[in-house]
Amino acid sequence: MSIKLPIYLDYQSTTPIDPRVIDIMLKTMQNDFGNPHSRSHSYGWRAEELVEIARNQVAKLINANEKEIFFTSGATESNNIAIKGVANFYKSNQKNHIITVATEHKCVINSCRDLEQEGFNITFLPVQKNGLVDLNQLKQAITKQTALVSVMAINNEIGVIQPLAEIGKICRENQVFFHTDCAQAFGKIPLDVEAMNIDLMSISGHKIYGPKGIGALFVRRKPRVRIKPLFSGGGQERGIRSGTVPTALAVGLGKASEIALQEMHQDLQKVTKLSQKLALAISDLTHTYLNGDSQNRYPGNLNFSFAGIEGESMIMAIKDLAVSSGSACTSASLEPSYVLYALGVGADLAHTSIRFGLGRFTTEEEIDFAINLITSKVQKLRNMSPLWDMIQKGIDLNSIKWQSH
Amino acid sequence: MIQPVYFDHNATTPLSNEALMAMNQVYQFPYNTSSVHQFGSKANQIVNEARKSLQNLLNAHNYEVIFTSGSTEATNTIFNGIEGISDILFSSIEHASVFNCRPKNKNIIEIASTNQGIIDISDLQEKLPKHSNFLVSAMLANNETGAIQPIAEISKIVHQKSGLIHCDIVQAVGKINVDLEELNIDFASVSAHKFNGPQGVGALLVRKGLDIEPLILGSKQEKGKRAGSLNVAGIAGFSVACKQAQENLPEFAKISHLVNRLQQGLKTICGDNSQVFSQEVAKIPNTLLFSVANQNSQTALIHCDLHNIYLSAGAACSSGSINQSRILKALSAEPKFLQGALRISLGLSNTEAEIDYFLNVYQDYYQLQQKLCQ
Repeated sequence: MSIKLPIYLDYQSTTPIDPRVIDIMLKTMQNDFGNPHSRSHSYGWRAEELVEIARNQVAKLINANEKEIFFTSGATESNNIAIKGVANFYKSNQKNHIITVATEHKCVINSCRDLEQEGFNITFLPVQKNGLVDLNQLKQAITKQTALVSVMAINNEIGVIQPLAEIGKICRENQVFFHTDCAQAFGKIPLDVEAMNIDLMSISGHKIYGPKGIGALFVRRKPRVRIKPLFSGGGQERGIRSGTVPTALAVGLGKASEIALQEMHQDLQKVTKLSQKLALAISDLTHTYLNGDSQNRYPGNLNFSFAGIEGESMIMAIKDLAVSSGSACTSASLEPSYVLYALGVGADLAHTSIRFGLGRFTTEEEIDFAINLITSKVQKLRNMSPLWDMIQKGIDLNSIKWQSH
Repeated sequence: MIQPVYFDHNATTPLSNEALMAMNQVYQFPYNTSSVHQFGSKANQIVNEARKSLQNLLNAHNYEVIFTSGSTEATNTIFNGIEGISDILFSSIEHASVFNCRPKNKNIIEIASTNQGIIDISDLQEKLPKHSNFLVSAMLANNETGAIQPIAEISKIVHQKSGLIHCDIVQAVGKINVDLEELNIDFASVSAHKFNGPQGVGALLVRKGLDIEPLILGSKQEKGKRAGSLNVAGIAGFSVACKQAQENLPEFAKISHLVNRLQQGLKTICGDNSQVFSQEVAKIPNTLLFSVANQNSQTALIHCDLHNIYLSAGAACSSGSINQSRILKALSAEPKFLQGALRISLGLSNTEAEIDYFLNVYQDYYQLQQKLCQ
């Protein structure tokens, strides 16, 4: 069987759009191009109707009410709105403390850092060696001033799943709002805003086989979470997010959500099977390490460190596989990942980490091809590597000072 | 006429087939500009080509292009992101994305409009702060009246006082030649879906050498000025729309003939009972805002909708609220005209036959209304 190269194994960076989503988006763009905020004619009403159907499809996937879903340009914007929006709204009530985690996505970290500059107190919780938050540490960090706890569901770099239900329970008991960045989790694993006591959730379109340029923010109505908007303007999305809602993109996110609701189980089964096969083969190479907890993880994300190999040369060697070293968003820089650093992974292994992302369209043939390629290249690179030599001689690589590029 | 007649191009425009095809091509691949593999480099290539298309269209080679989700975001980024600015001045006729953007830590100063819907320059001069830490925001073409504003003149005044100027060029792009060098502005906001590009894409243009702080924080996309994965397909569609807009400008200018025909037809029907706004000033070629005395625009709109003619009473973005037009008040329109405004905004696909069809439909409506009033 012929395989199209490169094989796409970077599903955390972005996903291919499902053809069913493309189909409905193209139809919308051709036939229903109206501005959903046009109040005076059928083009506008039709566009509005489509946006509302999409809102309902998104809501259903997380057991929310459609009135709790607000469309944004993507999860980065949603995270900005959620964190800065809650902080700025509640600061007048002496709530000036936010708790988040050292391994969150950059947009959460940087939103918090921005608030820190403005005078808010931010707690960046450390993670355990397996990448998971210590719930006791979380409990201890909550004070009377805490407005918000923000913990992501699935980590984008290493795939570990944080214990959302437990975190939600702790937050609710302490009457603190709970925000979760579900960019990597929405549509991939079951999420329930009621069962998990989630107050705000960030959602991305292009991570679930939908389009880029659209995302959503879930904001709980009961008990109501108030937000200071990030944008002002026409007052769309009930004032939470001004700007024309892009009809076709909303329709695309809605359709992707609907498909995910129906096929999540089947996707997850398939990805689990392929992921196990790949993980097993990489483990057989010896001196390879799966980063993050081996149980509490999304199987479509395998982040491995390969001892004795440099990450970038590995990417070059396996360029028939489209993969990332570390998060795609930071991969333009060659600094070792801050997420792996937070797990206590040493510089040597952090430098050699590769993220293999699997998803709905990954096939067994592709994984077999990947296994063959990785196996032969790892052996070849290790044979040429002075690092591998040192490992064989028992030299501690952590004593080496890495120069920044 | 059974075919729908779309006269609301200032609200949004149909996506061009070529833009749609370009987007469909991009949708076939998982392109993220942040990826290091070949899909990532291809994504960057698409985005950078689009940057050039926009720069070419606007003669903006000395401007950085920062892609955004639309012009509302672009304007919000500017209003919140220029360090050291204490005062923001804008006119009473600005679009809601400017008019309602009032950062708490800034002093907002409103400038009056003339009754022709032009920013009142003498009022601006009077209200300019004594210091230079100010931003003036002025639109190039008004979304409701279509009136073209004297931006180059305003830029000159602003720069003489060492201030900065932002221009909302949303309604002018694709309709008239827009030359950022000539306008001599410092920042501009643009939206793709107003000129046959896709919804959900826009851009912020920043004169090279000037700096802004990002509004959306996160990873380092767009040189750290706007975080979030870029909407590669949307940007590809935007790029095509830019190229087509440039080619179509001469054709677009001819739409003014349709507007003239419309205006004359309406005058014949309504006589002195109606008013066309911004009649004495230069306008973009496609827009006509008129009002009939003591009438309610909503009934006219419903009547038109029943006849498959789609127009509006003004801006679409007020999200469901049907208010008297802020713009008409700013123009000091007579009270009898405040309730009855209709905005017709045409596109390249509109025809003379459609204008005549509308005039027929409107004449029936108007005569019925006159009978009911007697």
